[in-house]
Amino acid sequence: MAKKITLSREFLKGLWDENPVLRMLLGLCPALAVTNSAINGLSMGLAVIFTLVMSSAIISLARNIIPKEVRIPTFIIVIATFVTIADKMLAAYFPDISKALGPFVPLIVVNCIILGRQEAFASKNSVSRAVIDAFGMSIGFTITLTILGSVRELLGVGTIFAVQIMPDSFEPWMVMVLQPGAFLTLGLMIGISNWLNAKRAK
Amino acid sequence: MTKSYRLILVLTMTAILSGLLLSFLNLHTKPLIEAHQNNVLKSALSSVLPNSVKTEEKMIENQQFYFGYDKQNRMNGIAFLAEGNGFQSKLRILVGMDETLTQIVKIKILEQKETPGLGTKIETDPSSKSDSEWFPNQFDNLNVQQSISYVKNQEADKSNGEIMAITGATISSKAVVDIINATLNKNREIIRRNTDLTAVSCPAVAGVSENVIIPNLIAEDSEIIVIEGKSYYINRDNSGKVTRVAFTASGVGFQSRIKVLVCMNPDFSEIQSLRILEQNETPGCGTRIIKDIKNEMGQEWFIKQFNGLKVTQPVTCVEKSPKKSNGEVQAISGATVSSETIVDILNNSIRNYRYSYLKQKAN
Amino acid sequence: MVNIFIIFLSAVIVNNYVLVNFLGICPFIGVSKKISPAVSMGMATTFVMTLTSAVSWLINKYILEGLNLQFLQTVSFILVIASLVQLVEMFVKKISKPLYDALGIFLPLITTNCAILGVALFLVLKEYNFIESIIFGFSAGVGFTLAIVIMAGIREELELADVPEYFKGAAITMIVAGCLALAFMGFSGLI
Repeated sequence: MAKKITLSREFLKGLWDENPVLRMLLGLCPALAVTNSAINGLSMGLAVIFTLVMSSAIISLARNIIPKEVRIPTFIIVIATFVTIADKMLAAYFPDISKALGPFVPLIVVNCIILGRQEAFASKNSVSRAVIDAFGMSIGFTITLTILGSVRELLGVGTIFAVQIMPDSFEPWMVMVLQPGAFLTLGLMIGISNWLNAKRAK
Repeated sequence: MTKSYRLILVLTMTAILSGLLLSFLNLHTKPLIEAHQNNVLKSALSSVLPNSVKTEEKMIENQQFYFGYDKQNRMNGIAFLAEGNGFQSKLRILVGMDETLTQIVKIKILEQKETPGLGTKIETDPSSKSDSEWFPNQFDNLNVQQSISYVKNQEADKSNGEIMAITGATISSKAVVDIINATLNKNREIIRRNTDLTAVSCPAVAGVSENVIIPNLIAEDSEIIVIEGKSYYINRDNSGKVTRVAFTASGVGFQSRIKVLVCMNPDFSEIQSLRILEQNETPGCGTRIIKDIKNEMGQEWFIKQFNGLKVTQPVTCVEKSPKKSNGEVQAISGATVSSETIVDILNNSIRNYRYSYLKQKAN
Repeated sequence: MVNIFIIFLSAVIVNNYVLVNFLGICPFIGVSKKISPAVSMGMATTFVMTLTSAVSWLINKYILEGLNLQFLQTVSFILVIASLVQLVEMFVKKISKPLYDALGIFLPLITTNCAILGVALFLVLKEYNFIESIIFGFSAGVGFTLAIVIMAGIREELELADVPEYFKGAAITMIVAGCLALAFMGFSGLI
């Protein structure tokens, strides 16, 4: 194993250096599909935080019991279980959000971020490290989605979190809340993050 | 060997644990989810049937209807769900109508996932400054004696059942119109078939409301009197003498509510006839209280036993060879619970109604 | 028949899986650099999607709904897909060498393609019958293939274009996809 890095670095890497959406291009489907408003982006992010943290904790706990040959199916069952929990909890307590996210909550199962983190990290590290890594990754994911959602909502409807920001005279760019807007905004965000990174490296 | 044994063990254990956890979760969340769905429906119902103080849901020919009643317990509205495909998603619309199904009172879009900003205007249109729900509100008090139609870029004539389509979302608008038209036509037929009970040979689910059925069953001129909160339907002969007293009563059968209409002699000593207004018992078993296809005594042998039955003593159920003079009727073998329920309903209701009626008469 | 045609047209063009429903974005970005692997990926996906829709319809209808276990939907679908992909891989390897060479390396990637699980979940949501489900799965695969092949074609040309440095790779791909999605929006209203 590479040399141990501090826990705080472990957490921070998910926010920027290894940001799952912008740097590693993982979990793009939900990032594009549900971010037509800031609140939807945030809720999807919260569901991912829950699923990723819980399954990382369980899998790193059980990492010595799970035989190598069946690790992927085991991971998938664990992940699917927590996804279903998140899905049902949303439906029971936040029905409006659950309605807006639709089938994209169950689709967290195949979100590459989650399986990727289990395979690459949780199954090889201690519980505390795995949980911190999971928090970092999923919070990075959540922040990205919330920003993406806010930008699209601001330009497409003129509001952020349903609060009017733009003056009344602003003509909303309807296309931003439609599908093309998702691709365009994410493309620009990736470009900008590349640029920021290059500037920082100098 | 031990290795593959361990593989299977780990996988099975994971699957079992996961299944257990999810079952517990399901037990906990299911009632919450259902309660929420009920609340949504309830608030939608009160918005589409604003003049009704209570609603009752009924399944007629596999179609769910919600009947609204006013303070005097008269039916004053019918609501139903209309479902179909919109432009890119399924639409579910709750339609509230007057009791004759000729005018829409209000509609409510319960579910849609149309194109954001365009098709979603069928539910709300945030770009409209005056009325964000202008599209669904067009259906308020819309005359639908003919089918609803939509117009583009011109004023809609509401008395002709016209509404204005949404610019840029004609297909979604058309879908709403088509779905309501189709469901309305179907439901009109169902209501028409089931309102006139005398024409229905096997009223598996009968009755739209008492006000509709009763006049069809009893002579047109029967008068309704209310004593101590109980409704009696009275028939008189030419000299004004009471010839028949009828009332309705209900109870819980084997698996459904059973509602009967009892016609009696004015002195409450004998049942003239009995009719089942409503039941949803086990098909082929409990439903034989209405129609017993295989019996050689006639399909309606069970219900006909009550014609002319003496009820000075409580009615009893026996398994075979009943004595009519003793107030005995024969139970349907295989549907004893349903048979006994009817006898119980009769005994309870006759006692109650007889008491109030004879007391009133004595005064 | 009309119904089936509408499902086909809707899944391929109007509600294209990638460009309208955002399913299967990872392989769409990852495997769209050259046309020929894009075609193979599309074919493998179509193949698995069609099978998945048939199997998951049966499972949902006769096991989950039959036993009132709908809450196990996600878990069972993903397990079915994972094992189906394995099975298909072994089967193809055994019977046809050329087919295996064409599809082989893409099959394992498909398990985590959310478009597949998406098909399974959508067909339950849309309450399709058995035949409709199979058509839907097949058409969704065709739609995926269409999108990924168009994208690969554009990206081959893009190699020669003068793209700003920071936008090379994923960023410009996203923006091109945005333009494609804009073009596909023109089809809305077709059905």
